[in-house]
Amino acid sequence: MKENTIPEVNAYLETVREEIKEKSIQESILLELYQHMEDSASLQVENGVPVNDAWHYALSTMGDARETGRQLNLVHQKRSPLLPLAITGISVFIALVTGFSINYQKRTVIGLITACVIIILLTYFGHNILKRKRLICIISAVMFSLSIILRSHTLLFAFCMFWTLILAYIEIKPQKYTSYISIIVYAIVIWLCRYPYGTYTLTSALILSISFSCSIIHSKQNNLKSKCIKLLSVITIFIFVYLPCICIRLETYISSFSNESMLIFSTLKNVHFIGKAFFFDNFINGLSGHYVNYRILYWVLSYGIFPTSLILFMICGMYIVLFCCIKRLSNHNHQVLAISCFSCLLIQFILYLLGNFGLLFLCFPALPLLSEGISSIIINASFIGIILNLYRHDRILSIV
Amino acid sequence: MSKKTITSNTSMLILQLISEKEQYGYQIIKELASRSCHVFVLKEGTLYPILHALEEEGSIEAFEQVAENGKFRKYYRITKKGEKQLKCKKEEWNTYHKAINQVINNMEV
Repeated sequence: MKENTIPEVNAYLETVREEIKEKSIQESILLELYQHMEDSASLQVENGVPVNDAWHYALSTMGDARETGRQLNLVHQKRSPLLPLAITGISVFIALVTGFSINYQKRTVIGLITACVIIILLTYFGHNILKRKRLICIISAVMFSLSIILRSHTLLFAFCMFWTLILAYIEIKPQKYTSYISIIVYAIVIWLCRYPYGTYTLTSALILSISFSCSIIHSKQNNLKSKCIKLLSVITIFIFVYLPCICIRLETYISSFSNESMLIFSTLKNVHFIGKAFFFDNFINGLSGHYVNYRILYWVLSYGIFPTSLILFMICGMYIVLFCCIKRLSNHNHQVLAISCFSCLLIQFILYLLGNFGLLFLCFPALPLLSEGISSIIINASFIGIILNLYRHDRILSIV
Repeated sequence: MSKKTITSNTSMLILQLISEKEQYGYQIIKELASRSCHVFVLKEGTLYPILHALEEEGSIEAFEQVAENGKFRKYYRITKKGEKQLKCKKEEWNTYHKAINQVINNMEV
């Protein structure tokens, strides 16, 4: 209730409040309406109208409170995440079922259930965590430490996502040099990651860099000069940090993976349109990697090109739906965070796809949500959950 | 002028006013009324659903700033998406306006 006003104004505001279902946005809307009436009344008072009459005049120009409230409620409704949730669930389920004959284990089912629970929980309640900046900083530090200790590249993706969130916070209240300090810290982190990760360095670093670049590109759209400087800084750091690393290690990568990649590539030329390839068993047994690392290759060899295309089309459907959700976000900081999460997922998928078709002479990360690794499932499910949470709450509250 | 004619083009008019200058709700209403010689006089509460809808679709963005009266007010400014949208709406309006004029003038002749 506002003081220094007439009861009718409070009644008007209360009526508007009743119509707006989302409690978290009620106060800011009512304040804006009250300030409007305050300005209107002030002008009347300046023109010599008594205070009470001025407020009555201000109120009379506002129109029907219930109708205004209804219209505002329509604008600020939560979006329903059911369709993207359903498409994600169906595509993951079918992809997992088609792979059961490869490596059916209890942990596959546990992984699927875990992923579903994480996605649903984060979709509906994730904003409560994302809003807490200190908690995010702590989680970010823990993820980074664990990723170094456990040598888990998926934990590194998680760190990357939380780091982007911190960057988004920095972007909201930019201070002198903070963006540059964050870039330098990021470079040090990448440099530190080179040694413990061994073979995963390149793909992890690639994912980190691209997601970071995405966040930079999409930040501060109104300040082109600053954006260009930041982008140039990122590219410079990338060249200085990675180039020696890439030159030294590329030879090692190619020697261990190139033979396998060439073998896969030449084999894929002879697979059937529909049906199992005759050399399937010998070939699969000959691969050095775990079966799960070649899930798409397994589909091509055991079902043929056409069924594999259908499965891939469904998985792509999940990414398209997630991308559509991101495109509909209006809050700029939500876009930055969602794009970071999405790029982490998409790059893993693309690298996995290239690796399975023998087009990547490097090791590649797991397929998001279909990996056997529990850390990969948790982190990638979190990415999807966060995107859907941002999509759901975009209209009603600023999470970041 | 009929209420329907006014409301269908209100978002274009609001976008135009915000594109010229960052403004808050009360300023927009007053500017709209004065520039249209009080033809476009909205019920003032109905402005906010339109503003919030434009903000939701990313055509405008809001920020808090101290106004001339020394109090904090929620200002709105146009985005790049909003500028494109305004340009399209203006072109649509000009085509429509031209066509109507042609028909009316012919009829009058």
